[in-house]
Amino acid sequence: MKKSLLNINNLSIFPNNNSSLKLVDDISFDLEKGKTTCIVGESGSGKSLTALSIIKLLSPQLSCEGKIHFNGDNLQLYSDEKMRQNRGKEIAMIFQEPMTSLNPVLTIGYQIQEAISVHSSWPKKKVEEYAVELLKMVSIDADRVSSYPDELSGGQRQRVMIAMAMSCKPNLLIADEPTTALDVTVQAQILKLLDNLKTKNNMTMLFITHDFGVVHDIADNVIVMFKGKIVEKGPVKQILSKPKHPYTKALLNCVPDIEGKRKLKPIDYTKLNKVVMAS
Amino acid sequence: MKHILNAKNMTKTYTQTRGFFKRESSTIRALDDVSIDIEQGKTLAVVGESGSGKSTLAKALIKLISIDSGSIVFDGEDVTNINADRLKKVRKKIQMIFQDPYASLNPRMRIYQILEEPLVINKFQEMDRRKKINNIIEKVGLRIEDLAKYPHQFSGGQRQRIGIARALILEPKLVICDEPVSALDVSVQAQILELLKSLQREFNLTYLFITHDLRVVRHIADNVFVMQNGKVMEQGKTDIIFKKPNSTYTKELLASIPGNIQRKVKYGS
Repeated sequence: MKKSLLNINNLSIFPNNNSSLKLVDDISFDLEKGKTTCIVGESGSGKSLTALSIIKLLSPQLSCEGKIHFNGDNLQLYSDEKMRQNRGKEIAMIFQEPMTSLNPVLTIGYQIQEAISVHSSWPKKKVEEYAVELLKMVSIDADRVSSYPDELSGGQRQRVMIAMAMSCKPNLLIADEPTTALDVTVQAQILKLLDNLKTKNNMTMLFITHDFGVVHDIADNVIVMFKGKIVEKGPVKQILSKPKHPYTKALLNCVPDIEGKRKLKPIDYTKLNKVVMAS
Repeated sequence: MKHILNAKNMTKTYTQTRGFFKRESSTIRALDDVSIDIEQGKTLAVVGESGSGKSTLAKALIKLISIDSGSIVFDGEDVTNINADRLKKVRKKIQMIFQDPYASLNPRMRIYQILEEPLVINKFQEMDRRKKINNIIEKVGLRIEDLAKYPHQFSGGQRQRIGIARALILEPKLVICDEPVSALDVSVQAQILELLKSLQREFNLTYLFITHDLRVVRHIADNVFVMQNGKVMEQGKTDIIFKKPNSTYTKELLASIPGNIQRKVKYGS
């Protein structure tokens, strides 16, 4: 029996004033411990909302229904204070745009130290040393501690975000399109770094992306979402080479391959909708 | 093999000043002795990372910025030091499609007005304008009813179609596409790439396609032009560059493509 870290049962997300409009519609999945699970889907499919509901950072205008169990505990029963303690320590998150998630008027050293001291009562000296250690872990020179975010490149900023997220050695790391804004060569470095950290710390990762190439490189398990529903889930090999659902097949047909031999087939949504409705 | 554009030995430098009390200036070579030939009716892809000078190259070719030295010949005419009147006529034949379909359409103009503007500038008659607009909107897969709408009523992919319609309405010879699909989902990306391909066949268009995604290059380009730090690293036929890259930088770019089958081993394992 595989051990799972997070179980989501019948999760639905909808606006407060319109409970019939399901943005995420009755989804259930488990995250296997120590593995990387990728959520794939187009914009508007509800993949980011699912991630935000786990960390309880959904907009107050949205409500969610269903059960989210983390390590056996029901996250919905947590008080705001308890959740705040958990966030960062047990579950950490990395966002897509590294510039908007760092504070431009504080040095990166300060921001990393802040993340550490929220969850520990270490003396200042130790916190400073640990911050430098974290920067080294993500391959940034120690003298960069006093740099401001605008002095760093996009890839370096994302490394700083990863250092902050890793500061408390979380059990679960949620990465919401962390490499979409980066160049391909930098993207390859960041993916490698995340995968190494995951293996070293036996961390579980929930990785949101729309790029099947990234899925191929990093995922153990894949969840495919379409219009708020999970249409298919399974091990990465099965999904990429033997997709069962027509939407997964259609989406894979849109990905340009490196050989350049296959013709791109844009999705025929009217046809697809009929198939989805019928199933 | 006919070339629609030949540019020789272009250089462009930018000066950056730093410091408030003590001024320090440093020079960035955005284009460093770049020569480029664009074959008519074909797609030439310019590949490189951010800061490699690929957008500067596009801007220089469309004469949005002036170059420090070098020469540009477009459609048999030397446009390096062209006057404003002539430039207006040349620009009619070079159009551009932009990366961000949200930022490149005026939110306060209806689609009809957006498409009409280039025609007004080039002094087309009212009757001709209407005919051309009705014609192009269907070519890019939208409906005539959509002309009365505003940009915010469309999705990202549809907006990019409007951007394409605006670029093609003057029947240009060369279209510069600056990362036209990087902001789009794969499913929409596939639609737009196929649309660009079919329009190319129909109107015998030449594309200069700027992108950082080598998978897209493989799909759309006949020739590739690899840039790094303002210099040309490699150029040639797409098939050849993908099979036998010469420069180490091209090799590195190819190895970085996510899901690359050549890199069979997963990270770390």
